[in-house]
Amino acid sequence: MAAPQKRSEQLAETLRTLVSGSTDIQGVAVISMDGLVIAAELPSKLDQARVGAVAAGILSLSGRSVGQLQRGELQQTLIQGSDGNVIITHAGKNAAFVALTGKDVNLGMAFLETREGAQKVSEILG
Amino acid sequence: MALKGSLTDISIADLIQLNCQSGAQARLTAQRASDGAELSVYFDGGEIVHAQVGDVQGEEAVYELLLWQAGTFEVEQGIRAPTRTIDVPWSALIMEGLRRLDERQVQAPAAAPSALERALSEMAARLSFQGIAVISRDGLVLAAELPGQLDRARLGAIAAGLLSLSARSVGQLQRGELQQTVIQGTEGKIIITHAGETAALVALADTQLSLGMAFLEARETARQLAGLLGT
Repeated sequence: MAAPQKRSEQLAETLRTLVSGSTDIQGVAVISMDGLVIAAELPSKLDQARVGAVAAGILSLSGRSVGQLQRGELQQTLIQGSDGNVIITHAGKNAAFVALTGKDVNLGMAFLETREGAQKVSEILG
Repeated sequence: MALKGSLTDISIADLIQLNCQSGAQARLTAQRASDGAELSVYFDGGEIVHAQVGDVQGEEAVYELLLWQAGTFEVEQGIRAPTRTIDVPWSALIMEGLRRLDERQVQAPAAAPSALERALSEMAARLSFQGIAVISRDGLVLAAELPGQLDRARLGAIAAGLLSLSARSVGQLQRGELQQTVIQGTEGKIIITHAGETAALVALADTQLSLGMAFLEARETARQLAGLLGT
């Protein structure tokens, strides 16, 4: 019987599968609430640490804003740029899931894949 | 040749723009309908060089005369200013004057709502959003139709923070120029969309409104607002 797979390997494989199987999502990262990267599968031109820090900043301000404007608890933030989108959502209690897409993508599909990805990550992290 | 007319046909701001763009040496005088008060503004080389309303001279006089709405005016060419009291570009004077005008309207809620407020109110009535606001990039609320419990200033501050962080983030993550930020909560959504070069639309929706419809309406409204704001 093969040795049980390590959690970090499980996570890396999940992210790899998601990105390679998606036509919309170019890269994903799992980050801790304080902006550190737990795992990532990103386009090589992007710096992992930067993605973590930037995404944590967005997550924190979004969380505060949603509360102050009486919209309940944060579920997801989408930032749309002329060259693509950034989608950030919670993955369990202590992590966030970041997905990057190119422009002119099927946003509905990208949301779906992000939600499924975040759900899997949340299960792996426990 | 002198140009004469009524301030109900052409506003002081328009007269200033006209004279500054012509670049000629000229004097604009006007008499206010309500009390007969007089003002004079001197132009030279495409700028306002001197203005006087009663005892008030300089920039403050320009801010004061921008409030004038009814009266008669006359523009005479080739008249030199007796003194120079203004060194600020005319466009900056007009901007500051209009900002003060807006401020007065905010302070005096009994005053008629601005054209932007009226337009926004009409839009809000047709839209599926719970509330909408137009903010400048630095967070000043230009106009808003919000649910009663939400504070305008707070909304402006939050939205401006989100705008600036989103713009920086989208650049750092190499996604081009910021177009829109959408935050989904368990009890609703916040959508911030660029409306022209200088302003943004903030729309608040409940959970019932589909994201597709929310995007559609936000995009249309932002385009209308950009048109209204002339950017």
